[in-house]
Amino acid sequence: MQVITLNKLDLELYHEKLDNGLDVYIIPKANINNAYVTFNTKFGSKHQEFVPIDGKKMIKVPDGVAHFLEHKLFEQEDGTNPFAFYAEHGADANANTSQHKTTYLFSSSTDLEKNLEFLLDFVQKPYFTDENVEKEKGIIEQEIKMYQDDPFFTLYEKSIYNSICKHPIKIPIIGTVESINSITKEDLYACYNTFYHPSNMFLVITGNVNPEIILSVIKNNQNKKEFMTLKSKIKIKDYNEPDKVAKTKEKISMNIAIPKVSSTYKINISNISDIPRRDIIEYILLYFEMKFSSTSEFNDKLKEMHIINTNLDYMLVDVDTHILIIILAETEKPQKLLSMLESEINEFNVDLETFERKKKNIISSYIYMSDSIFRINNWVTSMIVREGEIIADEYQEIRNLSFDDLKKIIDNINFDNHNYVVINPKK
Amino acid sequence: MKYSKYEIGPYNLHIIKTDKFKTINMHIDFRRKAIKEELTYRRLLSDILFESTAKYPSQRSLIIAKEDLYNQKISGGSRISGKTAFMSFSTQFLNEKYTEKGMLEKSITFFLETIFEPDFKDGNFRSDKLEIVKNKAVDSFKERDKNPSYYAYVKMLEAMDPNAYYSFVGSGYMDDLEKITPKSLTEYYKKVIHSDLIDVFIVGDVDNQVIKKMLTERIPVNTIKKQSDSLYIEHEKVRKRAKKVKENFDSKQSQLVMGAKISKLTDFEKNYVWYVYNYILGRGPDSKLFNTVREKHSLCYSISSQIKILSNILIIRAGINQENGEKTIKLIRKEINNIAKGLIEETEISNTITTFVNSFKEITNSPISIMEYYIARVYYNDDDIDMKIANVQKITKQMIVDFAKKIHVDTIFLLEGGG
Repeated sequence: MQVITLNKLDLELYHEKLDNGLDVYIIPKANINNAYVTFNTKFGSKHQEFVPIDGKKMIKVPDGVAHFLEHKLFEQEDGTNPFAFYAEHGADANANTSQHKTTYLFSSSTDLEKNLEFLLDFVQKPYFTDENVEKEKGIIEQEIKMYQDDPFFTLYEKSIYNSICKHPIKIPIIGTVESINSITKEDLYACYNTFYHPSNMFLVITGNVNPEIILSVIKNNQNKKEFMTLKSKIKIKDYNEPDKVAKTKEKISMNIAIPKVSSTYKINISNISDIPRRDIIEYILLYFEMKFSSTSEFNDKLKEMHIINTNLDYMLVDVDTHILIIILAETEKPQKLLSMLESEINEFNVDLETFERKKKNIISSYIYMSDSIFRINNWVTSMIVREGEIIADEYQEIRNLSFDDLKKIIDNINFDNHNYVVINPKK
Repeated sequence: MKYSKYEIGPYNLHIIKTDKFKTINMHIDFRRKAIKEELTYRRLLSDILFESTAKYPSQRSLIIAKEDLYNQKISGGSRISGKTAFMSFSTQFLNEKYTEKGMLEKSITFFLETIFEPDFKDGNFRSDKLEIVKNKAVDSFKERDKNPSYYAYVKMLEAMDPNAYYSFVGSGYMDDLEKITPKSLTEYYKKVIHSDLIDVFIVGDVDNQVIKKMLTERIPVNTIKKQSDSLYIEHEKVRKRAKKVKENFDSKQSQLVMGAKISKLTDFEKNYVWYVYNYILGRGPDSKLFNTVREKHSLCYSISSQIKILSNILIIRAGINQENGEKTIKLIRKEINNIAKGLIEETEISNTITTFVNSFKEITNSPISIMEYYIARVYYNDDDIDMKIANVQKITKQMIVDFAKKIHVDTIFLLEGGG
């Protein structure tokens, strides 16, 4: 097992790649009595067109398949209900799907080995039938409607949809009522067989565990199972996403009281600089943090002008070659806010002192994180999905970020590729 | 982990010393018997104190200051629980072992300044700051009435009894905003400081005497207070037939909220049996409501039951299609009745008990759950962890059936969407 010391976190990470390709990451943490386990596949809503493991031609699956599949893995052929199993063994279990991955998880303070084996077994034993696929459609339809009643969620989804031209991140993770109604068990098996192969999956275990024992439990479990042979790396369609946004503006109405606005900047990060991709993203986030967060002069000015009452918010969406930064606000004056944002974005009016304070903040957040096995696990998981490897010294990487590089990166960005969405109250 | 209590007089200090975490966590509660007309004052107070302080004239400068303190986290808010109105403030900051010497004192000073050194002008809160928090409150009041899930929940409680404590809205009321002036808010602030019960909780690797001294020097309160009367709401009357209320709403999904009253509970039922019952009915991921309404009949994505222990109320909520309202109500009622008839598997009970035993054992794994545990011990005389584990294991099927017979579905509110 490879052992990596995580600088400044007082933690060590144990890593081993099993013969079947499954990556196992274990971070022991003493002085607590529980553990948190996530079993992840690098399969999310963006993996929509691919060559199946047993096929030759590229296929396209309906929108929302990854999330549908996550729901259906909880259905077992022998009728075992995973939630009942975990309740019996004192564990909390759940699952979630993002644009980039799907995660099955549990946490427990007892029966860790049994619970871990069960996780591996139920995720690696799919049982999809016409009946159980049909049954799920009503449930997911309600989940879709729940999100449709949430204005900020709608704003977020519309912003992404209007920013992306070809890439399937455009589509809501959950799909649409129409798309999920078209999903068949064959779609689920095609995705499952391809993306749930151990070589496309990884386990992250954080908590009070002995790495040797845990690894041997996993190895014994995996050695008993047979998996299809992967002839080559999974072929996923390359979309060659353009730099332009798909749609520059949209106004919709919902049953809300205060108008809601998003302004989305689409940035091609594949040709900005030769520094690592993650550093480019970090610089861009720092720039938006300095310019538009609650500590920015701009945010303060908007409040003084009574354009906003609550602080601006922003979020990042990773679209492989591009990123989207979505600024969100609630305002009675959407057009005024949008025009002020447009003139503000290109003003490099940030200073070194603020830059260093924000860096100190990020570094502090790492130390906060190291107190929680849940946050450590999420950190490792997103690093594997994003980077494909463990960055042992992110602490130092953050410290090394320089104000000069920030300026160079920002100078190279074209902020013209942007759009806005306004949700107005229904009249 | 060592708990110490100091009865300073004007406030109680509870220190839970533990070296498990890299953070120090601090929480202050101000509490008094709830009066509906005061709730908006409490909401504005908890907002305005984080808008600026005597030292930091704007929210921006306040946030910059907390970032300088190695990203110290602060939060505050007001709520109502049973008959008690709470105004609470919390902070979390890194132990100075991981930052630099002197940070403990700086972080505690900063946190206490936000509460005890407000930004006054001529002896009152500044009118411009009051306007800011009023505007925020107006936005949030307008917006919360457009949120179907929240709206249905509040309307169900109002339909149950509009004058009961449980139907009070802890975050305040639009109609009360206008009458609040810098002067009246300042007077209310002084009333809170001098007559609310105050408890301070600290979890972390700290020196008790150092903390005690720091707080004594920085909490300018010198009046002694006493605990008020019972915290629980007892129901005098229960409806024989549930009251049904329907309302149309412009939303995609319909919201069903059912409220049940529970009366004449023993302490053991309140502290243990109810929790186990609720988990079996609709709290756990393998609950009866989840399995029947969602998994078997595909009627919803989310369905859950929750308990308001101090109000003696059980609430069930589900997001459904409008045409499935009656069918869902019937299925929920059937599950409630089935438990009262004893139709529960022994494994459902034992699994739930195992879940609770483990959750009790895991309390000490996070500073926040340690804090919540001690808050419940102090305010509600909750048992200690060993006693909790022993008591929950005593629960039998008969106890759950006896408890289930005390549940009376009182009000059913269906907010009909589907646009």
